Amino acid sequence: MAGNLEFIHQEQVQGTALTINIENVFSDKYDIYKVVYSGFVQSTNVSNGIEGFRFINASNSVNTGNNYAYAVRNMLSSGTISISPSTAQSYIWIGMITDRVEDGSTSGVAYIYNPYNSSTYTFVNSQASGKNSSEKRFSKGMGVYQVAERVTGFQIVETNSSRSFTHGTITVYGVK
Amino acid sequence: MANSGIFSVNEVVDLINHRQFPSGDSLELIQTQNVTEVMNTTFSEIAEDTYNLHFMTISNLQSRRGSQNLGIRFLESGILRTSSYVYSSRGVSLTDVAATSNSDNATYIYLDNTGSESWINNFYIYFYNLGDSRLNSHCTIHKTGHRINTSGAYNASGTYMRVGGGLLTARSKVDGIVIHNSAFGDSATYSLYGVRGS
Repeated sequence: MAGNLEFIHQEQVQGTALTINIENVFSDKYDIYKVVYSGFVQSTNVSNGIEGFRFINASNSVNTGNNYAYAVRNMLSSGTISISPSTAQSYIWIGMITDRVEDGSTSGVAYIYNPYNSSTYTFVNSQASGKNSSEKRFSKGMGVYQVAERVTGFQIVETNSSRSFTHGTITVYGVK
Repeated sequence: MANSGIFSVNEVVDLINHRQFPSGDSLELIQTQNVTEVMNTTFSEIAEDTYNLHFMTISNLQSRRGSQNLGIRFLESGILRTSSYVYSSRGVSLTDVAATSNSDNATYIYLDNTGSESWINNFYIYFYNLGDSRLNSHCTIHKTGHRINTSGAYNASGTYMRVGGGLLTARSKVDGIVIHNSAFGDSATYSLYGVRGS
């Protein structure tokens, strides 16, 4: 049925996990996708940042190479303002910080552009709000996956093995 | 609603009005309010158990009577919360002059301040986890606006944008949203949407 924002898929954190793969959600039906991530918390009492997004290609392979670049404006409630620019990274940082549930969580919205077009890079812009025991951070970011290939899904990744996700929901929409 | 498996047109309309019929569009209007010089514009029916993500647009917000603060407050069980907010946002002018507004202990989540002049502003805001008492309620904010003088003329150097966000440090179930003006009230069109499936 026609619409402007069309639900595609939802995934919830089950048990504990360091990576969450959202597979086969991009197609030739949409050029732009909206990803909502909400209520992400982790298992340990740490003031942590979550690395962010990686992309999954048509062979269902997560690209963990240094093919990502990003710039994020970080705005903290303490007044600290910074920019996190980086190239040749193995993920796109989108400003997610979190903690155990008693101390905080992170939520946000990201838009992903042209992932299924094999002749273009895949672009992201994002906004995030997060709280942990050290800070409250609000972020606006942009990133690019610098491989021209068909992308069919993405991964949310935490690289510290002691900081599993214990709660969180990811919802993917197509934008028409 | 009981039915025989086939909906009539009137039944479909009724179900849509009660947000119980899938339209295919996941962005569902909850309420629009057109207000004139109102200090507290309240959305008290936000369907917080249906939507995990809310989206608000504020269009053509006009304040013409001098310095005043504009912010967001929440209702908990219908009671206005006036403490325990934090926020940070960065405003930038067309001449690349940037300024930060932030607080670790505020009475509202900051949207803007008029300064010495008046404004015409437009916003979109995402609200996260309002109905989930296990989590903090968050929001992210985007604004574009233009300063105007007391006669309503645009100030040539007065175009601004702002990005940022805020949250309520207490974990609670939020069941209402208030757009608060500290002094004289705003005139604007506010629309609140729920994002189905979130």
